[in-house]
Amino acid sequence: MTEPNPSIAPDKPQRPADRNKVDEQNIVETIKSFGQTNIPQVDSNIHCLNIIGQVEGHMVLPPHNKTTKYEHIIPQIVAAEQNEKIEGILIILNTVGGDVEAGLALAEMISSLSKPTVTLVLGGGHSIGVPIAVSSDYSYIAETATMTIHPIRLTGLVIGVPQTFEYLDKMQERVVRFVTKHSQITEEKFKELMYTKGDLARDIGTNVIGQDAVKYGIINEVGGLGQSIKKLKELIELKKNSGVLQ
Amino acid sequence: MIIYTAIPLEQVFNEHETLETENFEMDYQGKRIIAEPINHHQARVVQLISSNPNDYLNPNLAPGKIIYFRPE
Repeated sequence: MTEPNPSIAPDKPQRPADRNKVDEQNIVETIKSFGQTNIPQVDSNIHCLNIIGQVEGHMVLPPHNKTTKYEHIIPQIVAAEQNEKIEGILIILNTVGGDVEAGLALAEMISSLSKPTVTLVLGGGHSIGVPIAVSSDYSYIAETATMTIHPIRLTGLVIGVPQTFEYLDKMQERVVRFVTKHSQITEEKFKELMYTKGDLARDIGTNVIGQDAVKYGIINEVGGLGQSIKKLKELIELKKNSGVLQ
Repeated sequence: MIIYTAIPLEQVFNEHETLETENFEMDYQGKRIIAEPINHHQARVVQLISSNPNDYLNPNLAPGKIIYFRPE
């Protein structure tokens, strides 16, 4: 059988031509909206969690904010833990911070995952991003990335009652304990960074950049995506061989 | 309230910048997406919510892709 000739049967839809047209339209659409054409799919045993923008907690921030919602992330973590095809999780951070409770919830979820996890701080991992950054088995920070360490407080509010102060102090203690437990930094050093004067313009605290975060022991190593994936694969191998992850 | 960010709170809670359309979350091809309605039977993909990096390579789920559905 020969292919139908358009000049013989002009009424009949030309299937191959139609499909080409659809494909072409798809490609044009993809280029317009995504700036690229699609790449062939391959199976991945590594899943990726993004902690981007503000960490959103109990309240919903106005829609112009770019947010990481914990109701999105937490089911992903649970699914990743259960799915046998997923062997490792890469967590990418570029966050300005946000809700303390939601941030700690995410950090606890990540640290209690039984699968190898690697965090990579790109751009910024500020404020409540710090406990999330240290919650993994191994952490990387890009050389240009930065992390702001500062005390917890209610911005712009005068703390009038000792109870409020104590509540905040306890809240802060949770962050300090989590960070010191999951990284190499000591409590003294972390608090010293937290209460530094003169580093931030209108605030106390420290802005640690790339190498400094490694020097203070918050982050394991300076690196990028390549190293992160390599480390994750190493950890996966290690887990496969020993059955127990350090 | 225990939100603390590097962004001024006035800017975080500024409600004046309203979006023209209300984006909504939905399941599409078994994946969670945020879509922007165009009319009663069309919507545009705004964001894909998935931890699988391969989903982001699927052109059917790429931001800007127009999806068709029939309202219930």
